[in-house]
Order: sequence, then C-alpha cells, then structure tokens
Amino acid sequence: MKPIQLERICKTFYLGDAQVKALDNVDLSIDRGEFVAVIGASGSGKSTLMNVVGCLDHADSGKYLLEGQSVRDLNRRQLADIRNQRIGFVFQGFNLLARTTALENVLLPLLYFRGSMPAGQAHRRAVDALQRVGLADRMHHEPNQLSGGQQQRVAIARALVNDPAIILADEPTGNLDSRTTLDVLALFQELNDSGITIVLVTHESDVAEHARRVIEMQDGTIRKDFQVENRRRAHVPAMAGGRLS
Amino acid sequence: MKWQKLIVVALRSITRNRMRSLLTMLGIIIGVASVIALVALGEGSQADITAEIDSMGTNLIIVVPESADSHGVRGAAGSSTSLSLDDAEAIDQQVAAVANVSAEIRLSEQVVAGNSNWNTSVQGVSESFLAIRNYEVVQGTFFSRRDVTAKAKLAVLGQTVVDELFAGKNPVGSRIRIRNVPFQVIGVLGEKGQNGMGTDQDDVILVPAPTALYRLSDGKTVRGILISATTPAKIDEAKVEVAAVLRKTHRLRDNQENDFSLRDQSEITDMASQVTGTLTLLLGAIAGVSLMVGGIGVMNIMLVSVTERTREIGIRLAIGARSGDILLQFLIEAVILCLCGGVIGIMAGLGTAFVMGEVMGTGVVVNPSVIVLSVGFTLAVGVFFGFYPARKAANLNPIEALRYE
Repeated sequence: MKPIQLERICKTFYLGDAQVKALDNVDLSIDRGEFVAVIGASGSGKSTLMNVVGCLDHADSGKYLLEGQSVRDLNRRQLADIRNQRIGFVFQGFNLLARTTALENVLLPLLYFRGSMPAGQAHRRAVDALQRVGLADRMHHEPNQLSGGQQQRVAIARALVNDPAIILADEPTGNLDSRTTLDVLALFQELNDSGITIVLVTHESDVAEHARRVIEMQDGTIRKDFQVENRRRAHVPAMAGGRLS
Repeated sequence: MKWQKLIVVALRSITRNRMRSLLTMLGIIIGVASVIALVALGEGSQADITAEIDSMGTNLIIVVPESADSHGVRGAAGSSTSLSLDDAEAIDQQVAAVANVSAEIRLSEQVVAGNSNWNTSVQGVSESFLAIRNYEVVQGTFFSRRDVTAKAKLAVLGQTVVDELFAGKNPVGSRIRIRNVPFQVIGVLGEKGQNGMGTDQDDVILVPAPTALYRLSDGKTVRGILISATTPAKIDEAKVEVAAVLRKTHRLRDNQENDFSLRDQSEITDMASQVTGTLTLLLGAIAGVSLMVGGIGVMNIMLVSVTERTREIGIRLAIGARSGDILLQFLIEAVILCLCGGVIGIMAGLGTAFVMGEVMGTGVVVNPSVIVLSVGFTLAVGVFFGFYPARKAANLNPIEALRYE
C-alpha cells in the first residue's frame, strides 16, 4: 500500500476576479521509503500540494489516498487525528512553542494522541525521538537557547514522535545557513535510510539533489518527475556530534 | 486530550504572563472582594442588631397603660394607672400563647448600703423576669414565686450597683436600704452593658413586684406588664388574647377603646430586615456590575491572547489538535483566570471585612453560601466571557494561522 496516492487533484483559488489553478489535475504516487523533493518557483503550487498531502486543506476534486484511506470524506476532526498520527510536519520557521523546552515541544503531538498512553511511555518516546536527532543532551533547553539547526532538529523530533507514515518538510532549510542545512539534510537522509518516507519542499536545487526523487512543479502541474542520479550525501559526522553549529 | 493536561497547558500560559494575568484578574478580584467584604460586614451588623433585640427579651410583648384622660385633660402615654398586678396574674393564667409574665414597677430611688449611697432604678418584677428579659444571675439566687407573693424584702443587684455600693465585692447576704426599707441582697445579675438607647442596663436593682408596689410605691402604679410569647410566631396570637383578657378584667364595654396598648419588637425587626433586604439588593447590583466589567476585561485579554498566539494555535492544529481541544484550552484558561481572581477576591474580601470589622467594632459573619455562590458566579463569568475568544481560536484555519506573523 502506497503512503501517498494522488489522482487528478485540482485546487483553485479565487483572488477577486482572477482564478488561480494552484493544482491542475495532479497525479502523483509516492512509495514507502522514498525521499521526494518537490521543487518549483513560488506560485507553482508546491505549497498547496503540501497542504493537501498534509491534510491541512481539502482538494476541490480528485482522489487522495493516504495509506489507502481516502481523506476526501473526512471531517475537520478526523483530519486532525490523521495529522496527529500519520503525518509529521517540519516547517521553514521551525514553529516550536516559545518558552517551552525541547522535550515539551516534542511531547506536544502526544498530548493530542487519542489512544491511551501512560505519561511514562510518552516521555520515553519523546526522549527517544530527541536521541534520534542527536539532541538528548539539550532536551531541557528552550528554543531561544538553541541554534537554528538545533531548533529544526527539535522540530524533526516532534514530527517523528508519533511514528508517522510520512514526514512532510516545507522548506526546512530555508532559514538555515549552508552548514546547518547540511546537518539537517544529513538527518533527513539518515531517517530515510531507516525507512521513513519523506516529502521535502524546496526551491533550492542543491537541496533537492539530496533526495532520491525530484518532482518539479510549474503552474499547478508536475513538469518533471525524475530519480536523482548522482545523489549527494550530506556528511553525517557534521551532525552526530550535536555541537552548536 | 485529558482534562488535567488541558489544565496544565492553560496554567502554563497564564503563568507565562504573570503581570498581565494578574491585571486581568483584577476586575474579578475587586468585584468578588467587595461583595464578600460587604456581605460579611452587613451580616455581621445584622447579627449585632438581632443580638441587641434578643437581649431586650425573647418574643417580648410589652403592655403599657394608655394616657390618663381625666375630664378632657389627656396625660402622657403610660400616665394612667389602669394596669394592676392582677392583670399580670390573669394573663399568666388565661393566655396559652404566653410563656412568662412579669409586672414591672419602675422607681428611681436613693439606695444606701453601709456608708455608700447611689441613685438607681429600682424595678419591681416577678420571678419570671429573668427569662423574659434574658438576664441571668451570676452570684447568689433570684427570688422565687413564693418570695414574690410574700412581698419579701429581697433584692438582686446589677453589676453597676455592686460596683458603686460594694466596690465590686460580693454583696450577697448584705443589707441595703431603699427608702429606709431594709432589703437583703440575695443575688447579682450578669453584665449586659448598654442597650440600644445608651442606657446602662446594669444600673438596676430588682425586687419582687408587690414589694415594690406596696412598700416603695403608691400601691397602684404598675408601669407595664412584660410578656414573652412561647414562640416568635405566636406573638400576634398572644397579643390578641392578652387584649381580650385585659378588656375583660378592665370591664371595658364594646364601644370603649382599650385603656392600654400592646407593643412588640416586630417594628424593629421589620425595619432591620428591610434595611438588610435593600443592602442585599445593592450588593447584588454591585456584584453584577463589577463581575461583568471583570468578565469583559477577561474577554478582552483572551481576544488579545488568541491573536497573539495565532501561530501557536496553527502549530497545535497542524500537529493534530482538534478544534475542540483548542476551544477547551482557551475556555479553561479563561475559567482559571476568573476562578483564581475569585479565590483571591474571596481572601482579600474576608481580610478586608475582618480589618474593617475590627476598626468599626462591628461583627463579621462568614457566610459559606455567599462564598460558594461567588465562586460559582465567577466560574459562569469565565465560561460566558471565555467562550467567544475560545471559539475564535478553535475556528482558525491552520494554514493561515501557521503563516500568521
């Protein structure tokens, strides 16, 4: 079963009289374990694609199967539960809660977990997630005590904590310098190697070269869809130390 | 999401902005504190008034003679001599709604004990006077029914008289002279202090009514008859029956007016309860207005808070919070703000009440139902004024909220 399957997805925005087709009959399927970079100029529809895939927005028409389940008929509350359990979000601006420790930020999705989870187990999962991103030693730091790269890694840990089917990253390196960008990309590659499906939106082609597959969008349609031949590896040691970068 | 988690989240965001939270609560604090303080003081002084009325006598009815009317010249109220000791006796025996009856003869006399003397009020009363007027004997005994009928020359002294004549020493067994008639002191009354009119209630000597009437007075002027009804509810019934008995003993024809009049304390109690009623209404209005103002303050801050935290709300929605979770989070925050304000207000109010009570010398009554009511009311205010901002937060679009700068 494919994690993501889009069939003839359309989404139109109306800005006054103008009609903008943000997504125009998009067909896309992503397999388990893929690392897909979505690139395109601003206005190409990549953010809208992200919102639809992330269940933050409904498509106007077409079919979207998330792990085989159609999300079209789901209401707001069911979409919230899907975002909570199947999807991990990483944003450009990190979007961590201020004045809240890294650990508590990572715990946040578990707060909205519908099943029963003892506090001890939730805590363990959050610590595990922070360990995976190499920040176990900084879990009691607040965002303003962390560097940009570290904040983004906390955000990635938050995306991981509910063990989602896919991680959606919207310009995750947009606010980072080139070195921390490599840090974060190395982390994504490492997570992808362990089997997690990753969809990353970017407008930088050298970031996209770290993915396995690249989808190029233009005017709401997929213009190119190709496998990366000379895939770049970010240097893992740069991130493993967990130093301030 | 579980309740305790929501409460933790709400508490955290309140404590994150301590100064603002405190200022937000201030409206509620002042409202609740003023209500609690005023109610405590109001009920305290009400209790003082009731105690005062009770100290005059329980279920008291007073019979006084009408003004004397001789050949068209009308005397002052109480100037006639229509009442007699027999009237008191008749009332005691014939009226069922009456518990105790005592005639009252009042004289102002110079009293001598050894080489001290003192001018005081000598009152001739029956053995049931103590029960009617809520006096008690702290030393010695009171005179008995037999002493009363035997016109015994016995006296029971008020504390002021003891202080003046015996310099505070135990006078029981001593002799005093009233109008040159020797009396034996058999008891001392407990202290009562001043009454509502400022008269010293301890400056008194009690003697049996017939003794006072026949040995000290003119043998006919009974100033009044004191009656206590069996229960407060029986006061009106007792008044009707007493009037009937007195009309019979006074042989009044149907077309003649009463030559006596009956009074009870219902006028005083009515007035007191009317004042309290107005006060309660006023307090309710103050409470309502101030809590509403406080509630609007809370709503205002919650709206600011929702706008300020749009991004946070977006994050929470994106990672899987349901609208209901966000609604509850903000609602609980508003309710906690109000409740904290309420609790602080209650403490501040009680503190103020006790300090004011101390300063003004009035009693303070802590009424648990008022406290429970104000807590409930602040809770309602929190829910009412917190709902609109909370709904606004819950209905945010996650995509727009995340983009909000």
